[in-house]
Amino acid sequence: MRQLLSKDVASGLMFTAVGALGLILMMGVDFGTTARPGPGFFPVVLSALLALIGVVQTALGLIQNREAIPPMALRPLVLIICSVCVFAFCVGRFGLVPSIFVATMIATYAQPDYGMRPRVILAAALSIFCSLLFVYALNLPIALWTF
Amino acid sequence: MDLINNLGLGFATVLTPENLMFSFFGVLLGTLIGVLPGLGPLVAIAVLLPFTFGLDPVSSMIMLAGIFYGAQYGGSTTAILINLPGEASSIVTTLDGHQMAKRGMAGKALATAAIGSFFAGCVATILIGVFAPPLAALAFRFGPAEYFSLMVCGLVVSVALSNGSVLKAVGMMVLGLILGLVGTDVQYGVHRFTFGVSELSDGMSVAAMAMGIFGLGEIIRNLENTGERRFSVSKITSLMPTREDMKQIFAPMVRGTFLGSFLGVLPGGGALLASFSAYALEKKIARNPEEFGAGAIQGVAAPEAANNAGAQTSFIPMLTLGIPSNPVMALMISALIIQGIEPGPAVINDHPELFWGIIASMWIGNLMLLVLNLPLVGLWVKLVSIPYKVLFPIVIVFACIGVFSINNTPFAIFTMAGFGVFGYVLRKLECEPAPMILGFILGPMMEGHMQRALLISRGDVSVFVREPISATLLVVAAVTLLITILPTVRKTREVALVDDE
Repeated sequence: MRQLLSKDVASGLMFTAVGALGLILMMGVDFGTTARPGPGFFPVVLSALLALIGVVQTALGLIQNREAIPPMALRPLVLIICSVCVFAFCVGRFGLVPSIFVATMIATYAQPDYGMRPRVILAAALSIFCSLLFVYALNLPIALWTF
Repeated sequence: MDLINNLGLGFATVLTPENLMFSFFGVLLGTLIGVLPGLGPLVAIAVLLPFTFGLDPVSSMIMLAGIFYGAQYGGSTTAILINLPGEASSIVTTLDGHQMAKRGMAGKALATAAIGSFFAGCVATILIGVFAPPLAALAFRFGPAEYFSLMVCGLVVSVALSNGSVLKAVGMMVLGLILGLVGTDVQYGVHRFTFGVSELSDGMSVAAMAMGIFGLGEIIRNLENTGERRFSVSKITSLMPTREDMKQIFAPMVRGTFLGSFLGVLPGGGALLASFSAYALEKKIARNPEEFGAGAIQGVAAPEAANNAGAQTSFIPMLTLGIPSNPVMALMISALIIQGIEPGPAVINDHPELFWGIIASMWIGNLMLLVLNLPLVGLWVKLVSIPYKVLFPIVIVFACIGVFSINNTPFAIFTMAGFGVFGYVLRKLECEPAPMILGFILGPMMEGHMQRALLISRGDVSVFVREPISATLLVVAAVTLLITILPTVRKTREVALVDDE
């Protein structure tokens, strides 16, 4: 089957998009001259280069390699990222212990056939262990809980 | 006899009970991390950075360095005994090491790996001691134009040494350079690419980026295959190699050490490439190439020596030029900056105890590893039986806490999450992340040097080719790039750099 959005085409489009975005964002920024390069000089040169590379890569991808992008494993992707974001959201608001507990619970769902018991045990053990290690032993300035 | 005096200073620094303890702690942790698959030295160092905040610079660097080369040792143990490389650089060791174990020579394979690593560690320590000072002295004569060209050269070499498509690698490198510019421009105070987000005005954190791409990205990929890992542990027999074996492994060990030392200095090289190349070289020149893959002892000695040598010599550009040759070194640079030391040619004169202390600690650390590793093999093997489903949540939590405490803002954790997704997508698109990370670190430095060079030359762009050192570096870069895209070399490069994943 002819695969239009192959690995190579997708990476080419990604480069082109970032390069174009860079050029757009740098439009109002002073480019300067070669004698006195402004803050926009280096980013504009790089963005243009990246966009150019992207176009060539896309073209090459369309001509030669049509290897399809392998499917994404959505379950681990979503759950792991979710777990990390929940940690980031909670750590300042509720403290370290609840953040670790919830983040671990969410992360374990990334692996199917995880029982509820081992999940809770791991989350509790990690919360205790990290509190002891990072807060008591290493004196990192993180609140254990804020309620 | 400066070298001896300097090494004397180094040993005097290391041989305090406190520093010996940190070195021991580092190599022990490193071995542990090397043994556990999915936990690389990069992740470990990022997680352990907060541990070093309270230490003095020498102790913290000794410990972090120990983790790095200790991981090379640990990775080979599991590679030999259970055919599971704990570390990317020990993938080749599984080829012959595990075959030897299957034929009842596990002990001999382990001893060969340990002796090879120790030998390489000793030689690499001396090489660093001999070559680093003149390099630092040379670097003192570098002006902005030379630094700019050196970085161009470094980036091109890292592209040449990466897997897969050259164009994609160049794209990733430029992408990294752009990402490195996110934040406030040093010269003019203009916010660039910050999208109005105030947390981005200081730029993105290297640790968050590296942890997202390598740490989280790797975890997500590992979780794709949900099948349980199963392995049989080979029995360990007599450890001591015979005199005959020693004779057989000596030459490969020497070749591996020198090849590894050379490749370790190159940007993007380091331990992984070193072990692959050393294996390829041995196979090519061996009288019994058919034995490779079936338990050839040279196929264990050479790559193990090479990866250890490469791990150690990759400190040279970091310590003398302030330029990291791989992502691990980039984190080491952040560790030094946190300690208030600006890495660069001045380190060797301003902080001789730090510079020579690190070098001496490598030798001591290698000796500890040799003594530590063989008797503790049983313990390491037990550790591998920790199931991945217990391991990965621990890594995630440690990564979050590590990134949070390095940067002191939850925003860094969100950055890490973002790069986790990006890292996973990059794997799917077969885009190599290593040149991007190097570009990210070098981006702001390159811009600064370029601006200064152009300012001095009053806008004359030819300054980069008029200065002899700068011109030479650019020629090297151009030739490297040309050679890389030549069709014949491309083919051999594909063969030499194939990842067996």
